[in-house]
Amino acid sequence: MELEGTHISIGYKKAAPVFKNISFRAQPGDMVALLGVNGIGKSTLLRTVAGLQNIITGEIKIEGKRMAQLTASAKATLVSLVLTDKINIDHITVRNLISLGRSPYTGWLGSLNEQDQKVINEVISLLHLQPLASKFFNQLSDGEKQKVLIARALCQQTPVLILDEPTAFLDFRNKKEIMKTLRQVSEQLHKIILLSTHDIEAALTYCNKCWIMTEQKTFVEVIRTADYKTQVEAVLQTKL
Amino acid sequence: MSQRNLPLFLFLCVLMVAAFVLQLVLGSVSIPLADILKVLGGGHIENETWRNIILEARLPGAIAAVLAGAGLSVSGLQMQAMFRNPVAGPYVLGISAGASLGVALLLLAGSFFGGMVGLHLLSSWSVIAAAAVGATAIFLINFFISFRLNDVVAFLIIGLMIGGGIGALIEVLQSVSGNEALKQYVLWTFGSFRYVSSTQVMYLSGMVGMGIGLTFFLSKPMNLLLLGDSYATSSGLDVRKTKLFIVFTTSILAGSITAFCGPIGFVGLAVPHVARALFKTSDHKILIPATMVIGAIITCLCNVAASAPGSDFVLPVNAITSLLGAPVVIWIIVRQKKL
Repeated sequence: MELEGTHISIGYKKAAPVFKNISFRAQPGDMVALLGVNGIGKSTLLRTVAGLQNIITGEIKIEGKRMAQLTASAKATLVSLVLTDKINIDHITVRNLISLGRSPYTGWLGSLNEQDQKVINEVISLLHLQPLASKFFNQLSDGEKQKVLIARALCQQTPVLILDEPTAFLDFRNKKEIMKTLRQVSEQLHKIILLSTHDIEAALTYCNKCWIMTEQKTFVEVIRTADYKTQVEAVLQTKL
Repeated sequence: MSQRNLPLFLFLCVLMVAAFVLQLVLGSVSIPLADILKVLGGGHIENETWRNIILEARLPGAIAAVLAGAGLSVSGLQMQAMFRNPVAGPYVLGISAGASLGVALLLLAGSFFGGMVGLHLLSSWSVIAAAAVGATAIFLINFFISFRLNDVVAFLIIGLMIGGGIGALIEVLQSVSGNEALKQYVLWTFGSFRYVSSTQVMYLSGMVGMGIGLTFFLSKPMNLLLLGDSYATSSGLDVRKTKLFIVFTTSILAGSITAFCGPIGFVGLAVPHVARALFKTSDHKILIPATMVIGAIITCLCNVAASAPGSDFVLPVNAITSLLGAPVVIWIIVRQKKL
């Protein structure tokens, strides 16, 4: 039940990787913040871990399975995603959007069975989305939309949940609420949550690990201890 | 089909049957409904000419209209899901431009090189083949460009430019070709269901039936594509395969319909929006049958209007669908920008 990366190189061209020699390991219940300046390769790393992009060298394993060898539908039962891509669909209700998270488990028509409905209901009540369930997605605020997208990902019931800058467009209150929700999810559902962020304060408050992609192209892990904050600042500042 | 949508869907089905029958009843020759029903039921009537008009002219045309409406609308729905763009449709994506080029090359260039222009060429298999080849070729070119670009707006602009280039090429062909060929070509661009023969309509229904059958396997993938390629992939969908599958079914549908009936504008683009507005859903399990039925109703009514009952005129179907469709598209854009 873990996420493991060994000596990964990421990028778009084999000859010129964006970032090299990344190794990491996360356990269920871990909430990990991926930190680093713009353009350093955070999104590329997240997309690679999620299997959206080919790995250049190295290996990523989830629950002991090598991601590179799996089909899209097998990957979909291991990693779920919340991206920064805008979703603009007319006439889709919150409940229907969340239900799409069950896709890896439904048949060719995508019909939901009792088990699927049960999972969807549980996720909706876990995130307190009952009042929004029958509204159209396009009518929601940015904070509500983000919660719905997290709910969709949770319906995939994957051991790993990846979020690309989940709080980037949110105000202070929504930021706090989303981070709190994620913390609760990782603890209650025993998931590995990996998120990229520029909000170091939030990372220190809610995440028990920070993975830092430094400008010197080293990959540093800092684990929550008594001097968590000073360590993270040290890695970020000395190299700034 | 949920509880809420089922009555609406059944009502539209009834409307479709009514529109279908209307095509058989109305025309330049008036035939009593009782006789029409008798002929359709396999019975015998006194007037042999009426029998021929019904079985050889009106019935194949009416069936072609249903097939074209259902097929074009559902292929527009597929295009809109694939490109996540409300103004995508088989028309915009170059299928009819390609078909026009194929037919122009056959008729116009044919006449220039002293070729084979018969009087009843409009319904001939060579025209159908030329249209099919042209449509497939241009659509494939557009598709490979879009695969490389992965940018919807750029793709649509390129589609527009290719269409413009083809239009120019056709004008050149028109200027050097003979009068008879020119007339044949212009008649073809009008679009028509009435020239489809009873043999041809069987082939057309085979092609459209296959395309529609395949489309029913696409409802779940199309729902996922609405989220975008990344989300679709992470939900377990093989996006590349799905898109190739969509291209395949769309080419079959729009390609065969354009080949047999000529260009029928705006149906594929506008009908999916009408279906979304009526059924208030984005679920393709509902939208696929809904667009098919609405599309069929609209083309049947357009076919009736084209035959201009009570007069000797025959109006171009393509012009009627465009007159109906263009305002719908303007409405979509205005509503989206919330002007």
